[in-house]
Amino acid sequence: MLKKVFLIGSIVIMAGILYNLPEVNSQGLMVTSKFIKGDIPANPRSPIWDKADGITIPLSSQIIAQPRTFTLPKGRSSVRGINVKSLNNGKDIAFLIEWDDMTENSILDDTAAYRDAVALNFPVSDSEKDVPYFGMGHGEKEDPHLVNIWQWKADLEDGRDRVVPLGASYPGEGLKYSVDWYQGQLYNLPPKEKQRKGPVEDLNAVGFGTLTLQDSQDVMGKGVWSGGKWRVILYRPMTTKDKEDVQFKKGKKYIAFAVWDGANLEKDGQKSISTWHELTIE
Amino acid sequence: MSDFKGKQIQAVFDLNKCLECHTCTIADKLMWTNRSGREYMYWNNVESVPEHGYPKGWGGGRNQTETGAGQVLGGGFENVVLEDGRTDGKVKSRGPVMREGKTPDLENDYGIPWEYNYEEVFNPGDSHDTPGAKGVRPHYKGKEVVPKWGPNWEEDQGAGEYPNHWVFALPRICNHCTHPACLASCPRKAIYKRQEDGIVLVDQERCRGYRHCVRGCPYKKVYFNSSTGKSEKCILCYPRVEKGVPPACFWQCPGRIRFMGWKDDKNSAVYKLIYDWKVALPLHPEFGTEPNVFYVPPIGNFKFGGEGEITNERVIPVKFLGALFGGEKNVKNAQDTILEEREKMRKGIKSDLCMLLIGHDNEDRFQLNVNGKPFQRPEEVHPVKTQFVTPSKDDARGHRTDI
Amino acid sequence: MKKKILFLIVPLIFSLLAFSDASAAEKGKQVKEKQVRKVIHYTPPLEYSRLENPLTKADPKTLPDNDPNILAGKRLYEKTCANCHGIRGDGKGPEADGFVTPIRPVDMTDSEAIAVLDQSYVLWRIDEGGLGEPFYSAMPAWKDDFTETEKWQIILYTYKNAGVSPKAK
Repeated sequence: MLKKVFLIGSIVIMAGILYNLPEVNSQGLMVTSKFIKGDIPANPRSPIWDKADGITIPLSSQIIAQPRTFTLPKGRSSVRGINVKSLNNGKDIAFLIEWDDMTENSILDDTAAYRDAVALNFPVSDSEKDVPYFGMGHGEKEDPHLVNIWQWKADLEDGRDRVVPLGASYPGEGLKYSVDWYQGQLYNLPPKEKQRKGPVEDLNAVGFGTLTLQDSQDVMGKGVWSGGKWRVILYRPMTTKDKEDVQFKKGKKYIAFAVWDGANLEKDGQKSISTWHELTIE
Repeated sequence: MSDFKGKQIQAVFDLNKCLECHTCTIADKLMWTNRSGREYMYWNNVESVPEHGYPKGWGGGRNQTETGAGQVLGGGFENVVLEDGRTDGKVKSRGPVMREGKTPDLENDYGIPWEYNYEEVFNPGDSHDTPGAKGVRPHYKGKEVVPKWGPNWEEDQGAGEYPNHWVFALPRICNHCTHPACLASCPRKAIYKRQEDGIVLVDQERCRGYRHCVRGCPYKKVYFNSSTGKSEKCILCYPRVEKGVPPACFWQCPGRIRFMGWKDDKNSAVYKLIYDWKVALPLHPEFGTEPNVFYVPPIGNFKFGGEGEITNERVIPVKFLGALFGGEKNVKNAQDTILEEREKMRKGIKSDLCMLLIGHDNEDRFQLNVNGKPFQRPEEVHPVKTQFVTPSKDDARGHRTDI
Repeated sequence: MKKKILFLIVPLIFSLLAFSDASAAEKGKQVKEKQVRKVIHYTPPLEYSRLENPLTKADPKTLPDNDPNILAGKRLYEKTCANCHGIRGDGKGPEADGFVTPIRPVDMTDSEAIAVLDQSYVLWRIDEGGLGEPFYSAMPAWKDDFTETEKWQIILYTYKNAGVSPKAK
């Protein structure tokens, strides 16, 4: 008898699994991009941000791919949660990420120094059925499930730009030259659209270890540290011409997060991450 | 085990001939590392052994001090098993790479570089201290540096008691390993080993400055450039090697201790020294990386006994050399072979080994085999432009403020 | 008929580990339009399903606390697995909260989780982790991190810790 009940129950559950997959946000942690009229604030401290409702997203240590976080000084990643807000005006979309970090690590002034950073992760494709793996996408060349990653790095903030090597991301305005790597000669930089627009890198990945800078750098941003808190905004036009970019329109998307604490020697996969959360664009 | 199937270039450094003059270091410094965030780096360095060396405490599980006490930086592979009865450090099996050690820091492990303010030093005027005096020291361009470590910090420190004290010089470049630990450490595959010559390079477009390679390399020969946020290393002067020109540190060596040739060229000096005579041994083969720079171990003096008599024992402990070059047995065999051959020469019998080690002409030491010649001179090929650019004329300098 | 039911139940059991959060499945039922991705493969490869725990044939739940395999498994479990699956195996470890989608780290004590699976299935999940169909979960692939013996020890302890018995072969 018991067996029968279990069987029937199981079939019901299985039906649920096969045809109606579990709701992505089993905890109801949804990010909503609030529609506003007027300009998107390019300052993380702008009062306009008060219009958006924040949500706290819990983060965990990245322990899926090596190198894992167990070998960090703390034995785990530092940041356990972030507060996320988003605004859009139909033309541009911006995200404000805030988290506690008692130490500002924004200068790579030592061979053993690491920076604070934050990244947003989006599936490039709009398909709701065939979502890339939240950890850097998947499929590599055979079956690419591309993700678009926007990474803000503290050391790329204004006034902290360093020499720009070939193949690095390029600070946008005014720079025409870079220094050739080994020959010590000046090199022409790529055209402006390929240069980084701010302290944010526009990247793609199709699996662990595949993160690559895009030819077209479209994301802008600004980060401010004060009182043990980072406030970082990342913003971009909702649509771009780049096929490798995520495109935003009213409706649903997925978003995932990652934060690095330089003081805990976090870099690469040694970071705090979340899985996919639903992003509703109003 | 090693999956590298390409052509491999190999080098031999004869430690019996090294003068510790640092000309190699300066050749490398002027050519590659005096600018653009590389100021602190020494792709080539010469260190006094036994001591911590550069960076401080390199060497997998043990540093190069006499007792092994003190800081150790880590790196290399776990559970390395070497093939029996070989002197070239071939690995039978190895475990995963160890990249969890300390990241060497600039101040304590490498040493902060500084530049003297020559105008002030040589024309001090009335208000300035003389060099070496305490107090205000306007002798530095920029911030004053109180050095805590440097590339030649322990020069001639040595070990042992007079008259049996000992020290020898160990010039070190990237070993361009057959199974590089830096390559194995990088999750992004930003490090690659060239098929055409086995030179190991950091792809500056892939590198994102995580520094797993810095921790993974047991020889600590990958360096982080904080100006660019990427890692760099000795490139074995590949633009020269491609044209058959020996790398700068090989070419400039006044002691002529450096040999270079192809692993598959049985007529090359390096092949004969490594595989025929077995007098050139890998540095720390137990790290499991199969290094391609080999060293003729130093023989050193014979010890004095209590009465001032010369004994059969050598001042440089064979045990110490064994720990450095893959076992006492290999070191002893190499030393005995050389001593035997030297004895022959003394008796007037020509020794092939001694002639090889003397390496009288460049042709005897470099067999890069291009254009029907053993090598090309730098001036025969298109000169590398920055070879002799002085720092003050170098456009790449001063980038922090100029760009 | 019997065959048909078997046909249904076998894949079902295997998919349970992935989606053992019954409430999430229930929720999924309510929100019918939401299809994240199709479950395509849920049967472990043959090389796994044939395996039996070589350390012991006993029910791990009945093994004593001081059994050497249990002790070894406990040490490894608490160092790695417990970060997400919790010290008690309840899926509430300190790292669990960031990994909410598509499923939370599985609650081992759930009567429909590992209790309805045999040990070889758990070995498969430990080896391969969540990156791959049909899971796409945050479960790491531990294939190269543990020896075979260590993995079986972890499995024994996981059952013992959760207080459930594996499905018999």
